[in-house]
Amino acid sequence: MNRAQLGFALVAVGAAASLIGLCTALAGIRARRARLIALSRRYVAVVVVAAFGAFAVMEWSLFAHDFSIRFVSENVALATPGLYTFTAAWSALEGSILLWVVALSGYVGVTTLRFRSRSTDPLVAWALVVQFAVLLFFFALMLGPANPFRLVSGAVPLDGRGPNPLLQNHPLVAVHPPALYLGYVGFTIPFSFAIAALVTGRFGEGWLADVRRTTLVAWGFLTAGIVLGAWWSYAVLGWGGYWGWDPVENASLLPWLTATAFIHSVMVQERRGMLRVWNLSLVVATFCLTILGTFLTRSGVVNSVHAFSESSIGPWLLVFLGVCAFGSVALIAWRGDALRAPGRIDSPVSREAAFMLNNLLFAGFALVVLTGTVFPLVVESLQNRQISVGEPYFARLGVPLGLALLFLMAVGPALPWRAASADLLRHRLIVPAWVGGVTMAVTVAFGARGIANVLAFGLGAFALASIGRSVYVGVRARRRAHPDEGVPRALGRAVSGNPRLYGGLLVHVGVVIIAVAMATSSGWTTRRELRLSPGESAEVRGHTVTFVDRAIETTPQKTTVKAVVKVDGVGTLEPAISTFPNASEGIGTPAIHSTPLRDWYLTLVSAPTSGVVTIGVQVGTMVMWLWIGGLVMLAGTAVALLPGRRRRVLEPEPPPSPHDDEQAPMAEVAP
Amino acid sequence: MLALACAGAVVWMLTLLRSNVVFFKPVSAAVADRSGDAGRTMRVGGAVVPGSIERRDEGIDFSLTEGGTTIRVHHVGSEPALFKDCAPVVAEGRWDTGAAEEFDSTRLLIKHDNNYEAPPSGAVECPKDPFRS
Repeated sequence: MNRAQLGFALVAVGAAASLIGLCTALAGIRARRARLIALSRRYVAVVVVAAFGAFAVMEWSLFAHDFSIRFVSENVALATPGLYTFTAAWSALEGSILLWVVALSGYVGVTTLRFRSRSTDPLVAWALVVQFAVLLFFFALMLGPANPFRLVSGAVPLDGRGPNPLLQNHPLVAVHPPALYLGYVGFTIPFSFAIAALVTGRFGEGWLADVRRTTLVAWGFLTAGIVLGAWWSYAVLGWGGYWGWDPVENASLLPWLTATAFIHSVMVQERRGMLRVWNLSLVVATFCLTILGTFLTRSGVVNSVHAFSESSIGPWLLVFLGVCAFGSVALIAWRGDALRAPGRIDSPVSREAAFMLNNLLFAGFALVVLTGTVFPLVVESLQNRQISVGEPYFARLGVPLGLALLFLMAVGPALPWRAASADLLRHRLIVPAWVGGVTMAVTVAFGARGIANVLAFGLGAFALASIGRSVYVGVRARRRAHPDEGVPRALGRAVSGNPRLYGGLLVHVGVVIIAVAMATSSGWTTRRELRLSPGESAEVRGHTVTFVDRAIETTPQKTTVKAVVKVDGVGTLEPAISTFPNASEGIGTPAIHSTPLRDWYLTLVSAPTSGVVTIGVQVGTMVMWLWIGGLVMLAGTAVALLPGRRRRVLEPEPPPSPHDDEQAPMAEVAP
Repeated sequence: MLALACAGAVVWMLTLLRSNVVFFKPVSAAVADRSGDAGRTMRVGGAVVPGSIERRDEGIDFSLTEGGTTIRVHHVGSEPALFKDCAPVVAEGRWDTGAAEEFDSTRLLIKHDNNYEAPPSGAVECPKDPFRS
């Protein structure tokens, strides 16, 4: 048995195990036989082994340069370095689907383990049915239109083509796609529980608690994937930016927006029993948007830097998307009245109202991005005209939505549940509001221009101060109860007493950092283009930029032409253009010198010919904080995942004064 | 109230969408439709005619060809990395109000796509590896 046969056999085993597991679980549920349901769980193990095994065979084939396999011959060359040979497994469609299945089987495996004591619970059993169905779909893709182990037609080539140059030029390709996939795929688990809740009629709060952690894990990976993608775009593509509202970037943002809405609205349902249909819809929408994202990325319908492959799986994904969307909507409609929530909103100035506004904004944001992304496809399919939606559309709508969300981030966590009095609001928000106002004045004095930028700084400071106040109140309460504890220890105890709250606040800090970095990098950036002969200098932002000489480096993987550029006070940077044997187009590699305040970003605009070189120089401000903000968001997610105490030892907002009463009497409700 | 605000937001969104739609046309189709596209922002795609690039202080001029049709593009702003002879380029901008077949570009994009084949450029020979020449 050769590698191709072994790999394909493992895929077939995975598909068969998914199908048999699906049928066994369904039969067990119908016949109410616990043994059948328990048996179906065994097939999860088979699926996991098959998926990881097939992936291992793929890696083995890549490293063994088994060019009889088409995927290997198209994505790896003898000269491809080890790292990019490894990452080649997901540098084209078929391997990506394989990675998708590996991640999904991992999630399903962990979920099955977590719920092993409740395996005969119909909710868990139905969720497993849905998980098997999704697994089956993706295994089936690999059996048919996206077979990663298909053989080359004709003679076996002596060397392969190697990965797309853009995918073998920066190590980030090793982490960005897997993170994104772990994010995308993870939302299958909450989706399966949502469907199970609808089918079993147990759409109370139980299923939410069951999927809270998985949703957070998936959300964390998706966040990491998006930030890493922006970083990759900045460090590899050489255009100096990090987000271009490219359809495929939008595809990753869409499920993030709906999942973020869900993470917030869940708290309303847990606390007040409201928003049941809404939460189910958000979970379904998130899952469907991940499938839509895969369709956009992988079917070649959009022209994008990320659309690395064209294939025939487009119709398959569309049909699957249709089945998931219509099936879920039908289930929700079928449950109809039973889903009506018992609670209602008492006051527009309350925590739950803030969450609802938050959800409205996130859903609106998702609608804006979805419309702008899909509209060109619709027009093209109906009228056969190629159009694109200009960036101003996204910017003009996205900026006010983002600013409104920043504002809510400052106000929302300070609001009590049910209703807030004007006094209470003043007490909690007056200092943060002043901090925000003063920050705006200071940034204007320092030369900040544009309403959006100034507001971003002001609202960011407002939100940070509000978060700081929450933490301060929590630590103070802890120290009152335990006077012997020092501040760090009290903070630690407060956090471990309510990791969800403090994790969430830390995520918010990360978001503020990113918002501020976006505003500074868009407000204070210098771009210049210099044409220099060797030894010639030019001035940029008070620094002398000297083109020293060019250097050429040849390896079997690529030929690199570098310009050695000295920037006084900064150092020597070497922007380059590399040509790979498998592509006629050269790939630029920007040289980046990053400090917390300034980023020097040099690109080689054209290869140095006849001595003269054209260098693009961009001096950006605080770009590094985009990635730091992303890290802080991940740290916050990790904190929120810490096991919390069953009963809260401390209330998040203990009453430090008579004003600060959580149970504000109804008479004090603000108009 | 809320419903009204949402409806207003959606109308605003659709208005912005309408005003930001940019049509893409290859050079030959763009030239054919030229009269109907006067004054509107659009994208034109083709290959850079070798030897046609002239650098000015505020940007570059070059000829763009596709399907046997060639236009002159006046680009204001910096050129993208790897902009060169034969590069597959998409120029965003509008037709010049004066001379025929002249296009004023405000944004240049290079198509990086592996699968992208430079359009056949008639008599113009594009070298396979630009670095070798």
